[in-house]
Amino acid sequence: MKTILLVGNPNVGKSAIFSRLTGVNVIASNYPGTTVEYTKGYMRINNEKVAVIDIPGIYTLEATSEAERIAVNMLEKEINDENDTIVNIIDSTNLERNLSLTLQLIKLRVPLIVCLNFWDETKHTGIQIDVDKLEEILGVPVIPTCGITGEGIKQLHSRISEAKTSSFEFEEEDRWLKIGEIVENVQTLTHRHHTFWERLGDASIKPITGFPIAIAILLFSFYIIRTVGESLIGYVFEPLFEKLWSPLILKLSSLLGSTGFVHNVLIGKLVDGEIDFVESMGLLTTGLFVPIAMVLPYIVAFYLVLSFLEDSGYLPRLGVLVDSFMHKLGLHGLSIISMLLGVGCNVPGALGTRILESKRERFIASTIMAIAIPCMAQIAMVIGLVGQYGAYGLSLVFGTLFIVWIVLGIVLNLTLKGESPEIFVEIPPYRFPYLIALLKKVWMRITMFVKEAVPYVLIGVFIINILYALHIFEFIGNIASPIVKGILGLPKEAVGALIIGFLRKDVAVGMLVPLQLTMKQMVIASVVLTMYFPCIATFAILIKELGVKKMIQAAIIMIISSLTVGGILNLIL
Amino acid sequence: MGDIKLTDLKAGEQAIVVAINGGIGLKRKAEAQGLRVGVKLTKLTENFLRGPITIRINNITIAFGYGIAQRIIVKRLSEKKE
Repeated sequence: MKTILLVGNPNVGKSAIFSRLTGVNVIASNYPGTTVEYTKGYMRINNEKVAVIDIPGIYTLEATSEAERIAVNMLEKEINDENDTIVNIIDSTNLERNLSLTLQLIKLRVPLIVCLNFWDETKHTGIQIDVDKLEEILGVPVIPTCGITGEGIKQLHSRISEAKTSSFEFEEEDRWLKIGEIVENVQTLTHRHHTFWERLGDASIKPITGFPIAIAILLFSFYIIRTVGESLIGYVFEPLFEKLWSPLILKLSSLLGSTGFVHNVLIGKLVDGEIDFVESMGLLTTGLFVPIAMVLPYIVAFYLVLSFLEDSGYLPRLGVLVDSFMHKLGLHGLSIISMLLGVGCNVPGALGTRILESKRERFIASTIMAIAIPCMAQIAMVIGLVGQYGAYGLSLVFGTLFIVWIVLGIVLNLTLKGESPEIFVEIPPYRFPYLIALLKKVWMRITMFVKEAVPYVLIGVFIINILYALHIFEFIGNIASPIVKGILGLPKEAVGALIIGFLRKDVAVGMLVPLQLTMKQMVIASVVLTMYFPCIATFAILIKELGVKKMIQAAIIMIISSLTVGGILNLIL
Repeated sequence: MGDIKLTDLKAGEQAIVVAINGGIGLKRKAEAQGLRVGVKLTKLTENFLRGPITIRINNITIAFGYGIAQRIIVKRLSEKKE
């Protein structure tokens, strides 16, 4: 199949154009053998189905980072048919730097077409570009576009087949000289005024104004996530389960005779003749309710907010602000982005550490994230256990995790050899995100979560039933009781929750609630469950990312630190 | 007027890049983002505790660590103007 590759610098609005060209049927996947994600979709040109691939943003073909190297490999590998076409997307407000990549693409000798994106922004930034002249010089079609309004997309669509190999000749060492000449020839600058968004953009990286802005944004984000998440649960998911699903399951329950192994596996134990979706522990009750009605609503709310912050251009600014602090943990500011991703789900968070250059940074970032950054499932668990004690109980748990995150980062930074590289990042201007592309991204993240979470929750619930039936929890409980009771001060029955926590944390709530723990025990159980091991899905990703040896080291750190912290809490609370 | 390190330039001042004292990796990375010898830049912000520095070249804003900024040598342009 003929392939069209979208290639351009980061932050040039590629995903909006991709989304305009391809419609709904889009898949995001990891490039084979790597964790660099790319999206692929399809479009029709003259009644022929054509694949469209959105190559991750690159500044140059002489890759300057691991992620860029993979993107460049992908680009070279995907061009294998003489009809394959590169659509080079350029930020028209930064013609000079963007043309550097364009000239490198010209040297590849493949059919090329150039989009001058953000065309609408040239007007108020006082930039005029002579499109015809640029087309003449480059010898390939040049089309002004605006991904957000859709301007120029039709033209791009109809002219894609006109893409051709450029005959523009230059010596590599004269590249910047040539670019200078081209820019001189086609671009005129007039006086401009700074816009409100530019002023805000600058204010949010200056420390004095930046920190208050950051705090306001984070608080507001938290408020939105909570409101959206709670409304989804209260008005959509709980009514669905209570009003529609529950009567069906009760009928099934009486059909199965209200008891027996099959009944317990599918439906679980009834509490006062009713289904308790958290504690019943059946595949069709707890197994579905926990991931769908307890965690998913917050995942949806969280990724909506995070993707908005991402696409608006805020996150690199946050990275710059926290850079000095993150260096104490052996990381640079941008690692805050993978930490934030980890708050949704540790799996994409662990994948997100790919933006960090060194193995050392990736090890520190993944380890402290897996231990101390609670994902939405863990947050749901903590709220389920400690939420009844209000802000005090919650702040004990999250405060402890925050301190652990910092202390562990500092310790790893001091003990591991090497140093952390410095931040080097482009700060894009604030832009209002293209909502359709944003929603598609949120949708892909949600489906990824559902695929990761639901099967493991179901497996977890199934295993719980088997282990209960075989009395294995009691057996292990007796063996582990010195640790669980002696160090952590928890009853030995809590072992079951700790075992299932290897698979999923959210399922463990239903096992702890019936134990009638005190607040102190709930706090300790929450902290230890969050810290001692990531869920199995994150674990699998970390093995792929770090390698088995590093993962074993990380796992040892996890166990030691969770027992230490749990033990300390047991002594001081 | 002598050449100074980018860290010695004050926020808001403009300068021309004279040299980038770094390995091929840093030079490439800088060049890819539009930072190379001969371009005019404006220093936007600096952070306390030797935090990162942000500069603007044309319409591009770039942030990098203090250590990198120390290796970028610039010539200060006398007046502040936009």
